[in-house]
Amino acid sequence: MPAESVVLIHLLPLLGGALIALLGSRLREHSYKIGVPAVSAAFLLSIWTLYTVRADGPIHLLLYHPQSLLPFSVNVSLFIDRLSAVMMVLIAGVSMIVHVYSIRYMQGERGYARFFALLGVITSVLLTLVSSVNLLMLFVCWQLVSWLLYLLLAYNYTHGPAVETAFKTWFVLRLGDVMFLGGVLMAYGVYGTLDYPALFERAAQHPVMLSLWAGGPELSTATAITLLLFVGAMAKSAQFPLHVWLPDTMDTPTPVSALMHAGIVNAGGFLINRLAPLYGLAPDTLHIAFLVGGVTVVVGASIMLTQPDVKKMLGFSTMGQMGYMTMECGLGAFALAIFHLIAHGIFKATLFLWAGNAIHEARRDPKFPSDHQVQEEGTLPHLPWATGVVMTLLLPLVILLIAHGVVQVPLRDAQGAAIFLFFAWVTSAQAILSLYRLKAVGSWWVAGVMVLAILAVMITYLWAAETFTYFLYPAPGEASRYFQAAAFPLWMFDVFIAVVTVLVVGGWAVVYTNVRGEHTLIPNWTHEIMARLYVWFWNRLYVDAVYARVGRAFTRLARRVDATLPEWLP
Amino acid sequence: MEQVKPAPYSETQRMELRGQIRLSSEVIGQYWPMRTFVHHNPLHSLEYLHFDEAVKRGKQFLGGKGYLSSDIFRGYLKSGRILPQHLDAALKPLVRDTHVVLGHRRVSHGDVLRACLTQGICAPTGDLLDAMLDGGSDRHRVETLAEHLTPALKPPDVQERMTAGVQADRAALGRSMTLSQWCDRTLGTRIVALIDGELIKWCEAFLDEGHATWPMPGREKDFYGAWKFLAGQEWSPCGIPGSRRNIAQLPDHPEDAVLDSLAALAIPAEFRQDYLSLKLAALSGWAGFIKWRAEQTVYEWQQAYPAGLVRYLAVRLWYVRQLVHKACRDELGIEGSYSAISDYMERHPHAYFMRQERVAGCLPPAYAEQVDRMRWGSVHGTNGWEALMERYGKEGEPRRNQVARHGAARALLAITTALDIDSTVLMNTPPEDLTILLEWMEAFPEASRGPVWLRAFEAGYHEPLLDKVLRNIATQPQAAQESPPAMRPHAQAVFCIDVRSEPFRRNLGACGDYETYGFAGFFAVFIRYRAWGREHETEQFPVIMRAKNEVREIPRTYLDQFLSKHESRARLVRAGHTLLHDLKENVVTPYVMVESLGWFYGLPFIGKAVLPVWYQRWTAWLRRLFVPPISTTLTVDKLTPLETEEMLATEQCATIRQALRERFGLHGSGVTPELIEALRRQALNGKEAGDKVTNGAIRLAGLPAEKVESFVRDLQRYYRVESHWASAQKDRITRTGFTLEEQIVTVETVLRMMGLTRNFARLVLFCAHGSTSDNNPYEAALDCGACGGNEGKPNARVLAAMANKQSVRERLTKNGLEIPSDTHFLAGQVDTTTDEVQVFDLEDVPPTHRKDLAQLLEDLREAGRLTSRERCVRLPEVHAVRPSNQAPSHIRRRSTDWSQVRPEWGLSGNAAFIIGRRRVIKGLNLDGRVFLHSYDYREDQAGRLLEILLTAPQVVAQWINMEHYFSAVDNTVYGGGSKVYHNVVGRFGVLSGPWSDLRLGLAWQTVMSGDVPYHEPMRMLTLIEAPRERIEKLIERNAVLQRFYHNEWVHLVALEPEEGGLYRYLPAGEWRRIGGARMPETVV
Repeated sequence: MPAESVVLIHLLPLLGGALIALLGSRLREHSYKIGVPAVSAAFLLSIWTLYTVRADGPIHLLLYHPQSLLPFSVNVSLFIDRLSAVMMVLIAGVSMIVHVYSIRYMQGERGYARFFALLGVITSVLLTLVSSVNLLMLFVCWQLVSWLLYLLLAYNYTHGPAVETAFKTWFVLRLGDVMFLGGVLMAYGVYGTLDYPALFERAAQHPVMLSLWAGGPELSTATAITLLLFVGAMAKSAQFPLHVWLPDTMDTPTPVSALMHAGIVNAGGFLINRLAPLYGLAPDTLHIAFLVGGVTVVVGASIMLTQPDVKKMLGFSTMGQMGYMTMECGLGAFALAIFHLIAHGIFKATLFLWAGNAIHEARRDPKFPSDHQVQEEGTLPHLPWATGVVMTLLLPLVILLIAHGVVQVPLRDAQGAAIFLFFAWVTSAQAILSLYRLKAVGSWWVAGVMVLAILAVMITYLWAAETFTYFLYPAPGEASRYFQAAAFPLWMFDVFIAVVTVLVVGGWAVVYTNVRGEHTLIPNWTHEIMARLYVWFWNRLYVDAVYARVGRAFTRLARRVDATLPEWLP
Repeated sequence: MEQVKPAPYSETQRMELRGQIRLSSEVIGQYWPMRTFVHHNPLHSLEYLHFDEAVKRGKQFLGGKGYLSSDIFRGYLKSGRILPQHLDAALKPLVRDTHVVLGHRRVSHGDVLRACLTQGICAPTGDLLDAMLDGGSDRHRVETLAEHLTPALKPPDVQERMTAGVQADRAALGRSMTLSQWCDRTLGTRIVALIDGELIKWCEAFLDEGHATWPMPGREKDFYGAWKFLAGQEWSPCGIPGSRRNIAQLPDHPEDAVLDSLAALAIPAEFRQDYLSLKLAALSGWAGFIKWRAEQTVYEWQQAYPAGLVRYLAVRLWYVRQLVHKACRDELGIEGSYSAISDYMERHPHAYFMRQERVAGCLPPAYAEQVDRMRWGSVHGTNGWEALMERYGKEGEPRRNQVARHGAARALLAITTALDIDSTVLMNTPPEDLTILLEWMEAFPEASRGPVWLRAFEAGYHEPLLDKVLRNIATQPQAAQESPPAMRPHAQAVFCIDVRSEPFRRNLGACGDYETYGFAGFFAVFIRYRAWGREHETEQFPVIMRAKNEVREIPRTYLDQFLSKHESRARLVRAGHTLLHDLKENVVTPYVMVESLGWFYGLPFIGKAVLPVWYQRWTAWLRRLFVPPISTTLTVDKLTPLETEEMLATEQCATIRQALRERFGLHGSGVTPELIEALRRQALNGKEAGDKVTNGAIRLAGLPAEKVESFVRDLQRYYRVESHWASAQKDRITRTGFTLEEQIVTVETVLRMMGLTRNFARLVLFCAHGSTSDNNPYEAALDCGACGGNEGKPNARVLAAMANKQSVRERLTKNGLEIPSDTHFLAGQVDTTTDEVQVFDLEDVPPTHRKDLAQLLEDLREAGRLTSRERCVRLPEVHAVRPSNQAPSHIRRRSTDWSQVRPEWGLSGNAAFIIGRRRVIKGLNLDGRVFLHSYDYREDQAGRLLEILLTAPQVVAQWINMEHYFSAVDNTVYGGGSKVYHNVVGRFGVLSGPWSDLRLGLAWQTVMSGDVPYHEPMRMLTLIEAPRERIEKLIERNAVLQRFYHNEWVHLVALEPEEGGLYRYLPAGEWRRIGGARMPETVV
């Protein structure tokens, strides 16, 4: 197949969508017969593209070159490298499953054809977004996604709240888009080009400093541009405090949620990877990204824990996961962020599409209030302190270090690696603790197998992540350059490690005593604090409330001004 | 707002309030957790009213429609589903004997009403927007006619509208309009939405049944207390100033808080109940769930975290009082109370009128701007409002009048067209006569058309059905009913009364020589059931009853060797699930987990979407491979105390033996029975129980004393060998199972009730039903309603086990019910989604019945295939008849498909209930729309069995019928809305989207097919084959039956068994004979 056929990947869903939009009133429930084959073909073609790109290098396909129509010349072409191809496979794949799912799920809904038309068009726009060749094209697609998302979220337009949340989404995304546009304009103003390779080259060769006001602190333009673009990414990827739109978008049909959480919110991770050379020049932006991501992780996950319904819980879980993705970017592990967003996309899309299963689970295993729980028969765990520490704290660390050593991760010099180690450590400690609490570890044999299993998972995971990094950034030294760019000042790193250690050991002690049924280590005042924290997180830290209040105050002011203006004013 | 002094309310006042709240909660339904979906009537508490009256109440408080829209009914009329003669008959009671002369035609009242119905003509609304949209080619005719009408039509001017509006609103305030709604309408606030949002937030958090990892703290304080505790720490909820201090000062008793709020809102005592009803109806789903929960005394969640409507209202009214007061003070400078608001309307009618018009968006821009200036700007004063309205009235009047006249003209033209009268005669008719026509139309609004349509609609179904039954009986030879046929049928099969059993029974009958019966799917076996490996019990009986016995599923004895392996494997699987859950719901761990394990979700992601059946087979195979299923039996018999004692002792000894091995490594000959017995006694009775003999045994084993002491403690603490636990277990065991007496009564009742008392076949199958669907929050709604929304498997197994017992049969023979010794009872379950039948306890089938069994199984499979084929035709996107080899695979795919919103139609379509002998329905195709209960009036001279039938299965059927009825007529209010927006909350219910009221009723997909209902909403018709006097006596005795038949919630028809005539029971309490084979008379 000639390389030109990649354009079909973008065209097929678009044409399918357009055709359904045109013939919708006649096709009705048969709309899927156009939409599904179109997107399935796009999916197969994108797999082929991934294969081709891996073997033969990036595909660059010029579609249109406006010679001198505009004061600046920007071409329209498709640029597909490994990163683009990977993203295309993900987007087309998720979109295909969502299409197939919707055939029957949406059966009988009003606007069935409209739904498939929108799905097709947004898939095409997303595919174009990841294969854009310059910042302008990227920006245009970035825009279109905001608009199309509005239409999809307001799919059930007879339902007031659906339209309201769609507008809220549109508004927040707009804020990000404006900043994004600022970044694009600035990039053009400073470097005179928007094409990636030229842009990266000039940015690397001619660092320009600018200050916000005369005599103010100086800022490199790379930092300024990346920061502006990053705000755009924050809005799309639901980073604190621009996350407010994401959790309330559940008034849309479930398949849209699946597509959104697997294919749209991770645009931020893609953006940073696309502009990796530029972000590599801006350590300050990376630090800010790390901070924003970290705050989003903690806030998103904590709010998630308080949610008593399935979809909002998934929404906040996505927020946390996107925070982690941004954090990875902030640590310079750009490729890992892509690795994460793919895994998360598949994971989250599955959970959304299967969200109705919650009642089945509740029927099979109904839960009871904690003090009504029937005590299980049999022996209670009888594990001395020392063994507990070894099993749940040291063992995971040992496993991790072994896994790390086996795979020969070269990130060892990078301080960021310690943060991944921390996450992996806590995860495996929690895993062992859970298994132990469940008394699943009946015998030494089983325990051994489990430890081996965790070891195997760890090794595979680290190995896969490493391989993936080299797959995306095959140039020697490139990946580690980003790591170094993101390195922290040493004292900050030390403080971080210290705080984390205290937290982990403290947390472990509390959890462990809880498992043993002794609550002595938890003083009473913590209940007060937990209740207070609960109120904070259950109210989503009042972020929405503050925004609403600011909005109301603004309206009130405008109203009063309007009402007191003299009547003769137009 | 200054605090109302905490008044010391007396207990009498509180009690009075509780009673009032109980009464005011009548308009909201109860909401059962969806784990066991219970079909119910959303207006159940209003059944003491006539159906139409109850529907009106529902409209007043909940805003729900009680009938299908006229458009849909007109569609039915066009398609012939509603016949004109039925419509006329239904219209008859409304028609007055009066007429108007148009040209040469006498147009009677009836003609006009009929035209209104069939052509959808309504009285003009005077709506400006409608008038603007309504262009039309006959503009000229309309204008001339409007001109002609001018002298007779006097539309109200703005002053009159204002006065009328103020009067109506003052009357409605507190009764059908709450104070917060008043604020929203007058001031443009969004108080109702704000309060609903807060209440949803707190209900969601408080009522959660284990979904949130971090649950709401302080729930043990009850709903009101927990809210006080947490909301008192909130940062200014909804912008209420000083909320923390204010909440802290609230009284401890929720009743006092309600009374305080009512006092602050100054709601007059005479319509307090209506006001509270409105408050409850605002979120009828959440309030309905709380209503249900408050009545459950043994529900674990309610015991731990009490919730009730008084507490709910205490919270709700606090927000109301604060927000209404704030809005009224900020904008109008008045108190936020009933009296102040009513006063305001009276004293400032002009300002009130103009504000309302402004908020409703009716004002032209110039006026809207002026109102805004007067609201927020510098312009003030009452005179300003009056002048403004004056000007508005003067300027808008001509236009308004014109619109009204045009509307009237259009309506009149429509009437003439419908009656086929030349419209020019209208111009020659005096306008006064024409206004009479308009008055008739006005007196027949949309709201009063529903009952007429419904009656005609029902008649259109009843007539052919009753006709069919009559003819069927006429063809059955009378003699055949009397003497039993000489031949035994190959088998008899008893199915649930469920409407889905009807096609299956018919198809089974077509496969061979089978006699089928209908019986409520719990088979009169009232049990709480615990399945093997589960830690909870299900209630296997209709929710209107109580359980007497417990039954457990236990592995068959011969499997004990295999059991520990099975258990440990099952535990590992469970551990895996919990592990995943723990890692997912944590602040730190989900990320690495997703990166490393998220990829594996690709398997279900692709598998379930692309090849659902294969994926399901593959996972089922894996599961079987890892944890092979084991064969089980049920604890049907009750153990005697002695047997219990012995069994427990044996179990304790085994535990101690195991403990000795684990703790001391003792085994083999070192462990003497004496030692174990000694340890057991010590553990059970405490140290002092150790006498010489036991101590001797312990000493012999060579165990040091202090070690023994700690070992005994461990036995008590960890191994549960102690007296409390033992007596608890003894208690549980004695509650388990049935005594012989109970077993005999159960079997005899069942067999006699359905008239299966002679000519038993060699195999009798009790067939329960269940369902399989994936990703379906409504899956319990597909299961057996008679088993409380569970599968009926255990009930069938228990009944078969009882009926197979020799001792039971011996006693039955003494009672005159002889079951041949070669009759074997089988238990089975039909899966209504896949039409496959599973038969249980095949180990117990005697070898002599092998061939019979094989034949039966084969025929059941074939009947399933036929049923699948039949069902395929009705499914919305299939519609075509599939070859019988394709239908089952299609049906099977539906049951495993996670994107399938209609795995089956379930009970949709149900419309009638037939109670009688087999001859009534034998050979009839009833389209799966009828509940069938077998009943032989000859076995029940006293009418006791019929009484049970009418007060239990009929009630369940009526609940199912009404749930479907209301979900179909107004899916937004009474139904569950579309599944594609559903969001499971708290492991017990669904929301639409992220925040909403709890969705009651059935999903849109269950009752609708496209824009028309698949379920034709009709009230149930009960047809009983029994003497009329017997039925009458029962109605006299039972209030529930009086409510059903006299208030027309259920239609009743009796089939007089001897004579074979049909009689309809009229609400007045009389019988009216329904014609012979052909029925000239319409049934309305």
